[in-house]
Amino acid sequence: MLAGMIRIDSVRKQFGSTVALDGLSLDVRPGEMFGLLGPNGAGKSTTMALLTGLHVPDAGTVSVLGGSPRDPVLRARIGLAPQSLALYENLSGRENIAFFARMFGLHGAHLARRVDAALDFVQLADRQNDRAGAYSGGMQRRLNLAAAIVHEPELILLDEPTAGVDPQSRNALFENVLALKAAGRTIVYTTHYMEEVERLCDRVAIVDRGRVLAVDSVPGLLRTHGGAPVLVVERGGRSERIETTDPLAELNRFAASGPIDGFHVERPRLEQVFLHLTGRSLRD
Amino acid sequence: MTALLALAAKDIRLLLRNRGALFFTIGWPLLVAIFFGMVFGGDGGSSRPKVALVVQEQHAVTERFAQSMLKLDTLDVERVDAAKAEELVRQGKRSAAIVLPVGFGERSARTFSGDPPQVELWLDPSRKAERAMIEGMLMKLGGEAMFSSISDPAARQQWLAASRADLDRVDPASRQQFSDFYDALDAMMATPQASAPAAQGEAGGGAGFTPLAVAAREITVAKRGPSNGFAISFTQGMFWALLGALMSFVTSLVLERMQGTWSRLRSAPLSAGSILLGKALSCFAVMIVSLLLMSTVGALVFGVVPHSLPKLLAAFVAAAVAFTGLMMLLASLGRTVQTASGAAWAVMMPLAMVGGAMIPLFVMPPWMLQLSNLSPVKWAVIGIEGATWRGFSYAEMATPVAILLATGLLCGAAGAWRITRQPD
Repeated sequence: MLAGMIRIDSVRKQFGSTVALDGLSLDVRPGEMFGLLGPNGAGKSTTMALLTGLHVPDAGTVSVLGGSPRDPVLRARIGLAPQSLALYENLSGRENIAFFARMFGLHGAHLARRVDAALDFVQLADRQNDRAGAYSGGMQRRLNLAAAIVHEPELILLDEPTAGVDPQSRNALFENVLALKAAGRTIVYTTHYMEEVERLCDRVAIVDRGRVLAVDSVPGLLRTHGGAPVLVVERGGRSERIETTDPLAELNRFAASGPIDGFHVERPRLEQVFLHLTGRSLRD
Repeated sequence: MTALLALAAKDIRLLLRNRGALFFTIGWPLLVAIFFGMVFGGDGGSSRPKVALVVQEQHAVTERFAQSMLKLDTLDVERVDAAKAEELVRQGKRSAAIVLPVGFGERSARTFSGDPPQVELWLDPSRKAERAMIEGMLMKLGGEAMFSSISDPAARQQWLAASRADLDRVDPASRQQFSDFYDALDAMMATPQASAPAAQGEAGGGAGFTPLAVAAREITVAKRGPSNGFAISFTQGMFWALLGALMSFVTSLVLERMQGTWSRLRSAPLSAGSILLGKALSCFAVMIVSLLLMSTVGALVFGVVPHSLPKLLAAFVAAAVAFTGLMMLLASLGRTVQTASGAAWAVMMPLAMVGGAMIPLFVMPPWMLQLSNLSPVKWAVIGIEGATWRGFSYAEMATPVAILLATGLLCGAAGAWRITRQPD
């Protein structure tokens, strides 16, 4: 665990009277895609800011790539796609990527090659000379991702990368993120969309009010905190819901008592996990 | 260093693509300068050099010469006494004074036999262009005057009589030739063709013949006044150029934070100081280019010529440093564009009002002049005017330049300190 890519230990961070992080601890392993799931204000973005050295913890320690995230040498190995679209709207897509590549020390032919590669990766090569401000929301998100990976970082921090994106662009982003994972990158992915972490992440930390409530794989979280599956039976125009560990036996019992119009089984979702852990819905 | 230049280049590129910001940084100040230059009276409705004319004798020829000078289209001539003329030149209110001394008329009547009539030209040694133009005009007038005196029968007879009376002062070897020349000239000028006005343009053009001798006397301008209204308005326009760039960069710095690019830049292996230095560098460069552009237009089109280019550059650099520092401090006062730009206007407008950017310093009441010392705008105006028309020495330039540099460095450091301590 000590050899982790990221190690956050009992970190507390306060802004004025607002406690953003309250003893948060995390470990992220090399090559994994790690999800931070929580509602707005849970402390996800503050955690990201700590990982890039933008904030210093009031208490506790943060180690990234084996050192301090404020070390410029280590920061050159990290790529951040901030939650807001951190782009210059009056620069073209290519100019944006080239500018941020220069900030990470790339230059000359290598810079040009990496800019080409990043634009190809997010499928914006054909629109590279258009102003970023003229891109659709989904294209801007992809450009935001390209700016984060142009310098080939080992650790990629994606802060709500699909915020405000249509389903089609979201799928394109998922493909990009999965390709990065397949290339062996370590990725920290924050979101408040459960389906994203279910689809993408190896492990998930459920965060609320600046604390980690649980960390595990999605199946592990569901097993530990998700409760039993729910059998939903339609009969006589009514639906009946029964939480059960043996849906088939329960369905047979229903069928024995009279004809049924239909049924389905609802497997536990992260929504239930969050509800179970916090006592409230993720969308509250 | 590469990152620093890339940061600065990015901001300049963004400004060039923002037509509104570009207009308020360059176009608007130019319009303000031209408009108010005209309101202030521009150059008095004429681009002719203003000269004083002093006539030191009562003589018909001299008077005729003076009258022809007053009718010139190419010079703005005002007839004054010698003391007044010297004062006007010394104050820079006239480019030069032309003095027709005692004996001018008499000598004009002896063009070939004695020394040519002498004219004194009093002017500042730096006014080389005006001197060449005025001397050319005097030669032309001298030629015309001489032609006039020999084409008018009565005047010619007077002129010939005087010239013949002076024959004994001519070299004996040439005496007969001069006598023959006077006879031939008298006979020729009596013909109608010779006295036709069309011939006037040719007068004085003969090779080796000088109708006038010009003796220059240097009068160093003690403290110049503005050469025209544009000298005032272009300095004020330069303030608006500085203000336009300041506001653009206040907005751009706050937008960096609001749009997340600041966070992305901070996540790069760059210090916050480097990022802010890049921003300051681009702001400084835009200000310098705006000032140079304005001064070039002012000099080429509106005659606002600096008396010293090195001093003007020093004033520009110091003013740009001061306003860049102010930009940094003002950008730290708000977390949104509205609050930061609101704060910037709230601070800059009073500084401009008391600093001479709206009301010229030389018309301010004494109490306001005292108050204006607190405004860096005043020192920017003083520095630029000092290099343009106030005729400051390097020692005099040192005060505004030092105050501006100190203001820029202090405000810049304070602003950077505040910005780097604000949460991202």
